[in-house]
Amino acid sequence: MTITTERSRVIKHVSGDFFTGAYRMTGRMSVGASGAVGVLNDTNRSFAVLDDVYISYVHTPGSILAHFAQVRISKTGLEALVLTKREEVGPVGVARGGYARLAQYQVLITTDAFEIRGTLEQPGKYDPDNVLFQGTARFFPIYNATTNACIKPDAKYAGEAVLINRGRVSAFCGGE
Amino acid sequence: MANILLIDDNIDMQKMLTVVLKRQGHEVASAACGLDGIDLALNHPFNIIVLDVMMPDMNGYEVARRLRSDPRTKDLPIIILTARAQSVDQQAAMEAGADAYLAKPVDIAELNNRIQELTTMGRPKPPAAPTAAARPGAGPLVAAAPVPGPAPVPAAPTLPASGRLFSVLCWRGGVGATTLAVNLAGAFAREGRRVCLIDLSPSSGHAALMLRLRAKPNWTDLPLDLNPQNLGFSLLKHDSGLQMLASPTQPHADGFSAEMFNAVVQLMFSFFTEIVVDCSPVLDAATHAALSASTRIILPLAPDVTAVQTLTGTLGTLAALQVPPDLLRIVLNHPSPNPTLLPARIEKALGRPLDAALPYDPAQAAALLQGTPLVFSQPKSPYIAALVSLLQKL
Repeated sequence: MTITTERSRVIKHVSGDFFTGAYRMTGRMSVGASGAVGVLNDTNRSFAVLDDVYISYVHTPGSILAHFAQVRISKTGLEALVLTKREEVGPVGVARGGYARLAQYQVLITTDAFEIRGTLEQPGKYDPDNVLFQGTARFFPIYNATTNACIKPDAKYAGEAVLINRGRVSAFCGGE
Repeated sequence: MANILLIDDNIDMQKMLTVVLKRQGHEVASAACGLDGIDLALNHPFNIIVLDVMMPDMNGYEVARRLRSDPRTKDLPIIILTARAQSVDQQAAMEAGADAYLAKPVDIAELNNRIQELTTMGRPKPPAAPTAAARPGAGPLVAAAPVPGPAPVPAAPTLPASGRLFSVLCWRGGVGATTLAVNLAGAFAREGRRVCLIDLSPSSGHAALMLRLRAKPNWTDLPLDLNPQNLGFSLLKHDSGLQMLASPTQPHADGFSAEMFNAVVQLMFSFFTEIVVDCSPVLDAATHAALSASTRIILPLAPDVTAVQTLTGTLGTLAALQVPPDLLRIVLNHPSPNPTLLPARIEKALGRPLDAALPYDPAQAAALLQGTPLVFSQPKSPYIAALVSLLQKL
């Protein structure tokens, strides 16, 4: 995460891999104090703005298709965001909605184009319904996660955190 | 110190890396886009390129491909440095022709290590498949090993025309074989040659200690999927430029396999011109493989009856292994000031002349204690003078 100052306001940038169904976009997103999850779960904006973006197809993730200084990405179309550092998700209170003691559950989550394996952190018992249906937050974090596209399963994207669009989840497996 | 070309469109990153690399003593030139970088690389003699991937006009992969396709820069080491840090990106970087890949944020120590590694060792060449075709001078040891003992050794690695492998072999302790191997490798390093020392002892070899190096990593840490990069990580680096593959500090039951030894040597000859092997005190598989790949086998001998008896047995074993006698060099070493046998008696007992004699040097004990072999601490000592003379005969 990089931090710059603009007048008196502190702007943080998080870098990550943003995945839509067919594209991998590597770029920076300006976030405020609420981190990446704060921007993506901001219900007042349906698009997120990315800077210095390099675009690849998901099936050829090593080849760069195009570069743009700025890209507006639809939050509805965004399936997952892979972040290198856990702290880029956002402050603890925002990222997990409180400071309760957490239990960890190993999960496999599938979307239309991806499968994500990692650790779900929840207070108390395993409750996927709470993640998928409660509240207004569109994206939820999975930690120490590995993501791969179904059409190219050998290309794995590892990160300390992955933010997943719950509106794109097709199966939520695990928790035992 | 290296002459580095830094290609990165991020001016802040460029400035930061320039300051840091200059502080390490390197010369740094920079370019803010791929085309400028290629232009600079083609027209100036750089030792290495540090290349960003994500640049607007031409990405780093394309820059690397173009540099590899030009005869002027095809052998120039390239380190790719990028925020695209996934394994697919690493694979893409290597396919584009990079020699190393580092993820941003940059670990400066790691970057500096890679720069030193690539500028001193050169670009790793893809290893050729080992073949049984031995170079001139190698014995037919591999073809037939009639003596009982280790399992048949796989085909010896193919040595390049300029590559030489010296095995220092002594199956009796206290003769000074390791001291000889370390000083021999040091003498090559002093001549500016690319030399690597391999300690094959399965039970606490002392070559690393003699160079004041910590024997970690050692050959027990070698990965099964050996490649130039992870082999580089397994080598210890001495200030003199000498590199070494250490042996474990505790006895190791499994030993160093012949297959692994051959793979290591094959890869090493992509980087080094001389390899000195301090053989195991027993005829294990790796020692067997080392003997079969040797350009010369140096047999140190102390001036006492037991050492002569051991060497007589060694010569018999080597004869049974069909090692050509012209590969052998018998060296009389004086580890103590009071020899109990005269050279003439030894030659008579062995039935062949000695090839060299290394005098007793009282400074050896201090050199061992301080971890500074005589070849570096007292290069004009009689011991080193005799060793250099031996080098001429090798």
